[in-house]
Amino acid sequence: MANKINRRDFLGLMGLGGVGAATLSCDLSPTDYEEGFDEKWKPWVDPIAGEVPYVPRYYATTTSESNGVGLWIKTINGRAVKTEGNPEHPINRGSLSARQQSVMQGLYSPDRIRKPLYKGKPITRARAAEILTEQMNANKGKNISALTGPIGGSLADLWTTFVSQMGSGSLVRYEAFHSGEWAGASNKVFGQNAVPYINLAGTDMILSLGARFLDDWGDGNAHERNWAKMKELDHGKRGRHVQVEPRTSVTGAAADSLLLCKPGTETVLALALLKELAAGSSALTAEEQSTVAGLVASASLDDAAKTCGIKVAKLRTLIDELKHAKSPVVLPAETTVLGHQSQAHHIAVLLINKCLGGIGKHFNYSAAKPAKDVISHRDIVDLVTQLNNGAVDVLILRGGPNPAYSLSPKLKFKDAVGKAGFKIAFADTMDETVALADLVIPNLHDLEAWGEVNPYAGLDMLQQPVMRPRWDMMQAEDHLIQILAQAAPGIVAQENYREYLKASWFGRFASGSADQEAFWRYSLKKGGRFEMAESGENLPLSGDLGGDVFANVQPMGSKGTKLIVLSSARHGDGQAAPRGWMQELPDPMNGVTWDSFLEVNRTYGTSAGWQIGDEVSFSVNGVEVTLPVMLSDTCPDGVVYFETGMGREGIDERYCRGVNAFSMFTGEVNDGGRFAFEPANVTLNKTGGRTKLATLHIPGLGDQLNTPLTGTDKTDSRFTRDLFQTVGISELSGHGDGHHGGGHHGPLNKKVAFPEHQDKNFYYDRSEDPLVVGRSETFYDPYKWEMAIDLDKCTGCGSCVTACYAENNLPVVGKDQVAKGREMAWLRINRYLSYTEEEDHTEVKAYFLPMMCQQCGNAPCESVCPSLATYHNKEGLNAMVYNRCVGTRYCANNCSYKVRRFNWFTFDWDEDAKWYTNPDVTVRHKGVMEKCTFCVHRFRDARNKAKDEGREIRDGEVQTACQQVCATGAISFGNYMDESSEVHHLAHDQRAYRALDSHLYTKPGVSYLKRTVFDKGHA
Amino acid sequence: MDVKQHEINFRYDEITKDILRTLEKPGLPYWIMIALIMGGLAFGIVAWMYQIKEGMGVAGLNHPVGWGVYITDFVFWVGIGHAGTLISAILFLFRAKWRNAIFRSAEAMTIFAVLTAALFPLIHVGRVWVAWWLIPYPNQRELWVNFRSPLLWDVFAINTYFSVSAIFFCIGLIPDVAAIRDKARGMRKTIYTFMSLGFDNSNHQWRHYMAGYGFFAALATPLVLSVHSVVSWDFAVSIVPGWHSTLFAPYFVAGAVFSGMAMVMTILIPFRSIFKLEKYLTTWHFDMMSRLVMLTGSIVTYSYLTEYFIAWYSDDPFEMFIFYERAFGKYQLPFMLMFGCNCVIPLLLWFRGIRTNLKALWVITIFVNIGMWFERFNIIVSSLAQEFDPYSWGWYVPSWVEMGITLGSFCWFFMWFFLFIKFFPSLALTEMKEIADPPHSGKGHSAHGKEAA
Repeated sequence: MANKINRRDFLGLMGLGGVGAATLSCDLSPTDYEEGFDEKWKPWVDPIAGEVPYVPRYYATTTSESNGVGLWIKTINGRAVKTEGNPEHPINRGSLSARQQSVMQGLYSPDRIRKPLYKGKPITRARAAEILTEQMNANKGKNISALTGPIGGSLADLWTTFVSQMGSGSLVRYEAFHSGEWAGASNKVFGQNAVPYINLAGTDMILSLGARFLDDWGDGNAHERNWAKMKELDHGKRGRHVQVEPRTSVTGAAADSLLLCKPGTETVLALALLKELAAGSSALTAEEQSTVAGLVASASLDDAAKTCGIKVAKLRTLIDELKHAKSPVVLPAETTVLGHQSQAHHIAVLLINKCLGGIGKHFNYSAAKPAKDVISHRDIVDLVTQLNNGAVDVLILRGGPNPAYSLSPKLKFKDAVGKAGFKIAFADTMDETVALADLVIPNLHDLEAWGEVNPYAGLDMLQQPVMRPRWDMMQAEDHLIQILAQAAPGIVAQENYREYLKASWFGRFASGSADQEAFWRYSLKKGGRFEMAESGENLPLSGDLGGDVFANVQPMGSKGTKLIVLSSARHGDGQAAPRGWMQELPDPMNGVTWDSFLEVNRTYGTSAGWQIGDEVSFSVNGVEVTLPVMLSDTCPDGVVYFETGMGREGIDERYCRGVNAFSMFTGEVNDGGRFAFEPANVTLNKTGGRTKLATLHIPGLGDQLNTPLTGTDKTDSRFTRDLFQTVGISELSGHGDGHHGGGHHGPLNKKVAFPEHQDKNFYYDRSEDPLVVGRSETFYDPYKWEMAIDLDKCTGCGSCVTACYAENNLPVVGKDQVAKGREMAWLRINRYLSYTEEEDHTEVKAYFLPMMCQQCGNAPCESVCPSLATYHNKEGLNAMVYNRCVGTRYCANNCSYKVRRFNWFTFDWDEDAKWYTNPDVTVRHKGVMEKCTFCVHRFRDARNKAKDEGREIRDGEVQTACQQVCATGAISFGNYMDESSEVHHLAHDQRAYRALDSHLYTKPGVSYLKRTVFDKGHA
Repeated sequence: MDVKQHEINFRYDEITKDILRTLEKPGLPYWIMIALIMGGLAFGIVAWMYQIKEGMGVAGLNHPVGWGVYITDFVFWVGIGHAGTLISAILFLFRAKWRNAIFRSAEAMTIFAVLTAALFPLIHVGRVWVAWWLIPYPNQRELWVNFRSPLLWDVFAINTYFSVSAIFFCIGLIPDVAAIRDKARGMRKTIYTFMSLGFDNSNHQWRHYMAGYGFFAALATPLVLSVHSVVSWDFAVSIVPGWHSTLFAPYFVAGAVFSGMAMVMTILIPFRSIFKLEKYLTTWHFDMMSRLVMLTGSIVTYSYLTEYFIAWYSDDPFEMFIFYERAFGKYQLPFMLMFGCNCVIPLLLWFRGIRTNLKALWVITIFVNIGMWFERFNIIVSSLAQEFDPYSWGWYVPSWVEMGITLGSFCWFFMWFFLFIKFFPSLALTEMKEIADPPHSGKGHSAHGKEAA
């Protein structure tokens, strides 16, 4: 065979580094597809000149699914192994959410399409090309429509060109969750048809009416970072975050105060707030004030308070605080609780921010997403209508968005697609939509292909291949260019999409540049063009605020239990559901893995006679749904909560589980351009069935943690533990006399002398200690690695957990094993609840504590290991020698923090999953204990480098994997012996404490900084 | 305490004949029992092999409960292994004559129980194929063991105890084996000849033998106390609430004697009636053993109460919590079984009528065995399940593999015991003769008896 790719060449090329090598990837000729198909990958055997094996290379890129954040893909020996954040990227600055990291599992997914399929049967690549050409020739000039994801820039140009040149069809872009409602609202308020870049930087007060900006709303990475910055204490003061929402979310748990409102009343509240804030606002002109006053004339704070179920006094305090804040931001509710009031709500929120002076600084229209890139769900509804009319001759589906899964069944999308003359899908992964196509042509994964992502003006990200394609295939856009070359010669000058992208890039950004090639390389290396405007103009109210914009605002639904559906931070629109990391990452509030569940108030559920896992059925929007219940103390009575992303079908069967939340949608599009869903009244009936929910803790058993919290003395002493601690801001030094108004924050151990944490000589007094004879003050010289975790900044999102899975080759064990308590997470997020008796209700608060090996200086695990498989090393680490472990599990029993994990089996890895294991870390087999060692392999590298340069490792030179992805910067890591290091500084912060140390004298190497709480009297 | 003469209702000349009758060719019931035992043992072996192949996950163990039924079994069997040496060594030194009839079988039981217990450290480790790393042996890689680990102390304690008990057992057997040697033929004779070490009943030999036996008894005595103390330190040295207690060593030793004596009775009561040895094993013996059970049972009960007192007195929230949870929490059932079987039921033994009613006694001793098994289960599992961090509390239920291996361990134990019954005299001939009325000179039977001895 002429073009057969020799395995040796294949592997050799795979290993080639650099952009040049990456560009080779799309130069494969599309012939002879059968060859190289089932080629098994082999490790890199033959050396390549200039390449050092196992030295990682990083490529800056992005993917269409990762919310427009910049990625750095770590590749080793020519293959991608880990997703890391691009530190230069303006939105994520090196951080990544759990879902963004799971891109790697998408790349090596068992659902990747390897061969072209015709009517479901594999065919050769040559045959596929033939059919494609045939169909295109036959249908040229007719309606050839394309359905793609939210593509922009040169991708959108190419697809638009293709569709318009080939016939009378249209390009439809679809995404289940988008922020299009801002465009309509902005048009009405400011006359700007664009989605503003919401920037929380510099704020000192955030009021969210429901937006879960710390878990899955907008540019979460940036929001988390700016929120954390807001919470930093400066001379005993910091900003405040107030969350109004119907059900406690991660964002609500992280808020300084959480005001639970009745679902569907957010817009009423927004109008009342607008009325109060607009009156006398200095940010509005007199004319604007009267306009706004006219719009909200009928609103009343007292009525709104009653409707929402929030005390009016609270709201008044809140308004007062907003007025006095220097730079407050008000964020809207989630679209899925707004139904048809979405646009009104967003208008109200924009107006509130206008009143508060936040337009320009926090709502930046100079870095907005332009109208042409804004998606509306009306487009896909139109497409369905066209399809039903038989108007579409050829439908081309570009993989990624999965409308067959994420559209309401009422739209009958599958039937409609069936009415198209011929369906072609270019897709990298099999899903419900791709399965509808007559001809499926395998596409490259985003990490193997060229592309572009353009979320905001001034932010244009390049997507480049980071490794040679997994299988011999061509990217969809190259197919388009080839077809165009035949059908409409001369329209596209370039031979392939890479050239097309390059030309487009030059045309847009480097028209005057002398050395275009250098600029191209610079852009690739950087990850794109990051030139967003810092802030925009404070726009006047120049839109079309007719008197009826708030006409349809009223509380939704009648009284009774209401179902709310929100997007899942783990599974998103379902694309991340078939990924082990996401399935095994517990839901932060409930700890549930591997299943969808209905969150129900515990009191309500218990009184109805339900237990966790009992199935209930209910009917919503005409759909009958059966779900297991998860009883929760944080979910208020009157609300049941469900999230999207589960219930996938037709994929790897391990991930086909749960119920599809989109099936409950009506299919109507609201005036914000999104599928409307509003809190729906439901009646739950127990079916008698049961699903065992696999949770990471025993629900209801470990919840009752009562830490000494400010203002609480009513703790059940049986559960009193000081793992999680809080401190009143007024009690921190420099404020107040230190003890008034607060509860008891010291160690609970009343009788035993309390080892002084803040003691400068914390680690120097060891020679006196009979247990550690021989560890003199110089024992740790020059390094003692320590970590500090700021509980004020931790949101409990779990991205560190996933980072740990990725970095340390932790196996995904599956639902049955999780249910038995055998998940392998070295780092887990402990969730504790605290109950405070208020006048008329019990306030339940959720707290999150990341718990990993504490690297104790006096480790209980070390002394009991009979074979010395775990020992204390000279750098303060509790080292673990897997090879030496016999597996007595005594260390795990004696670990007070329960952070050691035992390999109960030799856990299976998918065939492809082996390619993203980290070669710096072993893959353990059955019978061996394992645990966190602060990513020890990372600083071994750094130490070697420092040694070569004749210096010590600098502070900040080494980051642990968990620290690296944390968007809020809650985790700090460094050398405690270096007195100038951040971690040394934080360990001596007045908020620092070491978990359980006062009880056990374990001398942990992790300092936690107490979560700060405001005194009562705030909103 | 001296022998009460009215309890000696056997004649000197019958002893050898009656006792050696137990060594005769076994009947059908014996073979059926052996078949059942071997079946159970085979099941246990298959379960263990399955566990080795698949991994420890086939057991019900999890995070945070890293130890469960296996360690429970281990401590249980070590405990059972206490009565024998206590009876043969300590009571020998105290010259308690009632031990003479029972010490041989009790001692055999000890050895088999320790043999059984020694399997469990192997069964419970994750990588049994490298379990030999727990033995300190010189090697060129300079790998060494951790002498601070109580598990390593266990290795030494169990090995020492087993070696000394086995030697002591063999020495005690010498005169009896010599007696069998004289009646045996063929292969058996060779083996018994070897084991009797040329013992020929000469006065000279008896003098040295008795001195040697005394020395061994003195050597074994501290081991009785040390081995279970060391086992208890597996728990006491840790920082797990509910384990971390200085009470554990005496508490465990008392518990071990308690369960060991109960097991001796559980075995001897049917044994006595099957082999028609009522003459030799009288209610008086069982009364004496019951009194020891009463004593140790009281110590155990006192220890339970002390644990609760200390938990309260410590004012330590973790300690208080765990003891509260044991009695009223999720693991209440094992606690109730433990308390009921170990503290309440043995109170019946305060009645002499029950102490001498062997049927009742048999039932009570079985309850004590159950109770002591659950005591260990209770200590191990409930403490591990609810340690310091409430978020990582757990729930443990044994799997079929663990139950299968436990069954196999019982069968393993009884296999040895059944073999022992047929190969060695279960009652010590010579020591029975020590307490029997010596034959009067001139009477016809005396010469015969002398000869036999």
